Parts: sequence; C-alpha cells; structure tokens
Amino acid sequence: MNVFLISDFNAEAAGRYIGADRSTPACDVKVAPYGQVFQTLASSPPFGRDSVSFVWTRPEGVIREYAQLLGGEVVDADQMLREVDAFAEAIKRFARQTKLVLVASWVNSKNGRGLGMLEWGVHGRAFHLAQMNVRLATSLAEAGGIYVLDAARWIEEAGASSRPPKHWFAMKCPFSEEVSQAAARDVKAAIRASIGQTRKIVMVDLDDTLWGGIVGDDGWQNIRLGGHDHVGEAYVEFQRALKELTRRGIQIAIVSKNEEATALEAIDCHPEMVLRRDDLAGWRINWNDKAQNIVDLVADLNLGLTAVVFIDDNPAERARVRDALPDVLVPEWPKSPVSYADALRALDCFEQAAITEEDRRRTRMYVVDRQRQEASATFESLDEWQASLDVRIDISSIDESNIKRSLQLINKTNQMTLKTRRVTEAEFRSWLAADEDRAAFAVTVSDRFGDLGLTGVCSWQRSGENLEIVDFVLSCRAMGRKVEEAIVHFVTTVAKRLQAKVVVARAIPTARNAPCLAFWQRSGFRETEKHAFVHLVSDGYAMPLGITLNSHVTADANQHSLRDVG
Amino acid sequence: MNSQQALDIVFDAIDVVNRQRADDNQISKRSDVILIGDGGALDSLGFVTLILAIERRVADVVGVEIELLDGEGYGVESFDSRTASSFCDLILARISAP
Repeated sequence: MNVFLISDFNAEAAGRYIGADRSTPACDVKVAPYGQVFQTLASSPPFGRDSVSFVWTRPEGVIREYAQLLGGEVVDADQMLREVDAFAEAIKRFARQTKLVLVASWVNSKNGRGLGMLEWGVHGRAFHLAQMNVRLATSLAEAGGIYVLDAARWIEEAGASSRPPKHWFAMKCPFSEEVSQAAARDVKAAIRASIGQTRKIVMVDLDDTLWGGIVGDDGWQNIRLGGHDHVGEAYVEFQRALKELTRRGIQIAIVSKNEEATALEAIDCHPEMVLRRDDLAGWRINWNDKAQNIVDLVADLNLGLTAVVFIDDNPAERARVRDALPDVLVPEWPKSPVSYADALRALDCFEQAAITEEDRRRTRMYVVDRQRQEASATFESLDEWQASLDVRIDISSIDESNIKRSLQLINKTNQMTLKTRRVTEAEFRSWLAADEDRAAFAVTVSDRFGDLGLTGVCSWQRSGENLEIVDFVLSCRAMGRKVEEAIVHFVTTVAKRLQAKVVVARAIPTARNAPCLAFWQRSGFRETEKHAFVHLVSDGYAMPLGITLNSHVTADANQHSLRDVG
Repeated sequence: MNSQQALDIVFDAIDVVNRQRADDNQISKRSDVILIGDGGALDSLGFVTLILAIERRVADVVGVEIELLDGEGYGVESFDSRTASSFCDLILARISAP
C-alpha cells in the first residue's frame, strides 16, 4: 500500500514508522515537503488513486487566525471557522483523487498553561481548538473515504514527554518519537480496516481471565467477580470491555479447559457476570487442546483464523496457540487483572470503517443461529430442515439506506465472494454512476428464527446480450441455505426482462473463496472456460423450494435508483 | 557513569532509531558500528533522532541534562564522533564537564 504524508511540520519520523511497521499491509511511504500543505492538497497525489494519504498538521500551521490567537491577539472566531472550512474543502477535493484520506485531529503543539483558568473561555486556545476540531470533523464526515484520527490519544499514550521542545528546535517536529509511533500505528490500523483486515471475534479463556479463581475447584459462588474486591471489580470491568465490543459487531466466544456444565452454570448463575450465554457467539469448553478448539469453533462460525483474537492469562496456552495458529492474533497479556480491560481497549485490530445496524445485532444473530443448528438436529434430512426454516429473501436496490452495510460486506467477505473485490464507498458510487448498464442490489435474509440482516450483495454489468455478474457476495451466516440459488434466480429473471441472452459469472479464485467457486461449479451454469460460468437466460433458473423471494425492484426502477446513488 | 553504561545508552538510542527502519536495514549494536560520515548508517533525521534519544536517556538514567552538540548545530558534517564507541566518549566527556 502506498501512503502519502502531508504535514506543516517535519513528519518524516511518522512516515518511517509507518514504513517500518511489520503489520500487514506493507506500506511504501512518501512524505511531501513540509510546510506546503495547501499547495500539496491542490496538486495530484504522487501514488495515484489507489493510495492512502495522511494529513497531519498543527492548527497554527494551517489556520492563520489560530496562530494569531497563540500569539496573544484577539481573534475573529467566525473567521477562524471559515478557515477551517477552507481547509476541509481542500482535503475533500484532494480526497477525490485517492482511495482513503486520514486526517489527524488538531492538538495543542505547545506546552504550558495557556490562559490557565480562562483556557475554556472565549479567548482560550482549548476552547477554540475544540470548536475547530468539531467543525473539521463535521465537515469531513460529509465526504466518503475521509476519516479523522484522534491525535489527542497519541499525546496521551506518549505521556509527559510528548512535546519535547528540543524536537521542534532541532528538527521542526513538535512531537516525540512515541507520538509519531502512535500515529503510525493508528494509520496502519485504519488502512487495515479500509481493506477489511479487521479481527471479528475474541476467544477468551475463563479461569483467571474472565473471572478470578478456578471455577471447577472453587465453585461459581466463590470465584472472584465483582463484590467488595478491587480484583473482582477488575474482572467485571474486563467483561464490560468485552461486551462493548459486541455492540460494534465483534463477537465473543469461550475457549476454556473446564467441565462445560460447571462453566456454563457460572456464566448463567453468578449475579455479577456481565457476559451471559446470549452474549456468546459460541464456546468450546472441554479438556482438549485449545488450538484445536479454536479451529473447530472458527469452522462452526464460518470465520477464518485471521478473524480471531485469543486471550488467555496463561503464557503457555498463549505460546501454544501462537505456535500452532500463526494467523490468530495472541496479544501478550498483563499479569494483573487490574490491567485487563485497558489491554483489551488498547488493541488496534478491531478498527472498522463503519458500524452498521447489522454489526450491533450480530451477536443476537449468532445466538439465533445456534438455536437454528440445535433445531436442525431434529430433522432427518437437510432438505426437510431447509424447508422448515421458512427462509424469506428481500432484494432491493442499493441506496443511501444500505450502501454502508453493502460496502462493508463486499470488503469483509472472503469465502462466498466471486471476485473478492475491495472498493471504497466513493469508488463504488463512481463505478455505478459511470455506466447505466450497471446495477447493484442488497439481499436481506430472515427465517422463522429471526432476521439475519443484510447478508448479500449482487451487482452486474450488462454489455450487449450478456449480463455479467460483478459482485456476488454472501455472508457466511447465510451460506448453504439456498440463498445463493435464489439470488441467481433473481439475476436470471431480471436478465430476461432486460432482454439479455446470457448470464455470466467469472470467478477470481483466492486462497479463501473456494466455497464460492464450489457453488458456481454445482450451480447448473456451464464452465465454458476456467472459472467462467455461463447460463442461457432462455433456460430459466429454478427458484429453490421453500424460499420466499420478495424483489422490491423492477429492472427500470432499479436503473433510476442506482443513478441516484451514483 | 562508566564506559559500559554509556555504551548501553547509545544502544538504547540505536533501538529508537531502529524502530523507524525496516527489518533488513537495522543498525547493529556494536561499539565499532559506524553511525555517521563515510559508510555511516544514519541520514540527517536519523542522526538528530539518535542525538536526542541519547540526551533523553542520559537525563533519565543519571539525571543530568547534557547537550551533545553544544555550539555545533545539528549538522552531521560538523560532528567528530563517528562510531558508537566515540559517542560513548562524548557522553562521558559531557557528563564530567564542569
């Protein structure tokens, strides 16, 4: 990934930290000459459209009125905000030429007390800095592909020596190496999020991790959790931190060496448990190897190992999982439970480009799926079970209400995806807008157990008599329920209305989308060349039995709607 | 402070510089490693980073604020010390200066 760094100060150190960071993706960094922020933003990025830009400025370096405030002058607050608007507009114009723009929020670059008790008065820099930051973030939020990073946290992380005066005098960088390093870490985390490299599940141990003590020995009544005990309080806080993650769409699962019944009794009965069974996407509580348990659980949940973070207080278990499953992130873990919650909240692997309604409901979806699987055991055949589910599929045009979730699905799905396309919202909008023969749809699935949410995306490009599927993406939650066939039925039906003669699907195989390739190979489409599947529209495509399909689009209406989105 | 302690400080500072460098471009922590000048591992930003890191580390370890480049600016070209070991000598000289 190419990264272009724009700054009014010497930010070369941050550029070097980004370049030297071992986490994926590897980055090639170019730093613009410092002090030429507006000139640089007015020009073309050196790496072209597929690059990331990082804009890190001091407020006094780009907002003249604020510089005058620092000099003790009385300033015009409205003029200051107009300058912020102009800066935001320059960034937005620049952002149209690049994949992703990251902008550091403004922090005070000088030490000292300012106006002391008047800092938050109308002449105080703290007051104006806060106003300027809100104005900047609000303005940039209107544009896609621009994210404001919280620079105040970098200063906090670096501690008391975050702004060594000698750094400014010697190399025109107001910040210490620690601040630049924290900035680099956040930039890398945001880049990973933008390309879908986000961890999706935390698998956590129980004894001395989720609570203090050994539940098998002590009984759930005697584990350390809450109560008038600072260590017990720390475990509760750690559980709260885990629960916060579930509200962002990150799942929690248990991997523990214990008797399952004993452990689940503690989870169900202890009055101070924050996490209950319904907060868990799954568990493997037994005496087996934890690495094997993780592999099994990941398979059950239709996730990849690269989605997993494993947390265990025992260094031997951590080493075992790290050694056996290098794709799993196993953070070093503090010895004291007092630091557990902070350690979890400091992890930078859960970054997301957006948080959608589906994210907030994802745990509930896993719980419902567990009930669904339990129910399946009572049926003799898969078809019988499938028919009993009463699957309902809604297909509607991608519009403002669902584009964020649709893009998230396109960018995060690795298994049931035809081309594993990675695309920003701006790129997707402009792709749709560029040709009225392109169309894109969101697929929502529900069944008698509950709503799986927006779990599929399909788009196509029509050219002449062919209608070629571009995106064919389905969340692992909905895989294997004949939703795939229902989408193909929909595509073929619309293709007929559009008077296309052939539907084409060209798969781009990756290490992880074998399920998608396998689906197309058994789909009834003919593989006319390697990984290219075709089907005559005149042959029709049967709708799977037991599924109700509601299409909220007609071919013509869809075209209009999509032009609006674009 | 003795020579070994001073060398440890230089190595700590090299760690700071190395964090800005790729894995295959790390500066080795040897007393004879050439840091600046002909065949030196550092460019000007690396040089200033090293100097500031040494000064901070000395202040942390012995509680003495020193200026390695007192009166010489921050240019590589005006600096005599080249190896890690010659940086140690400079640190010791600055600490013992009246």
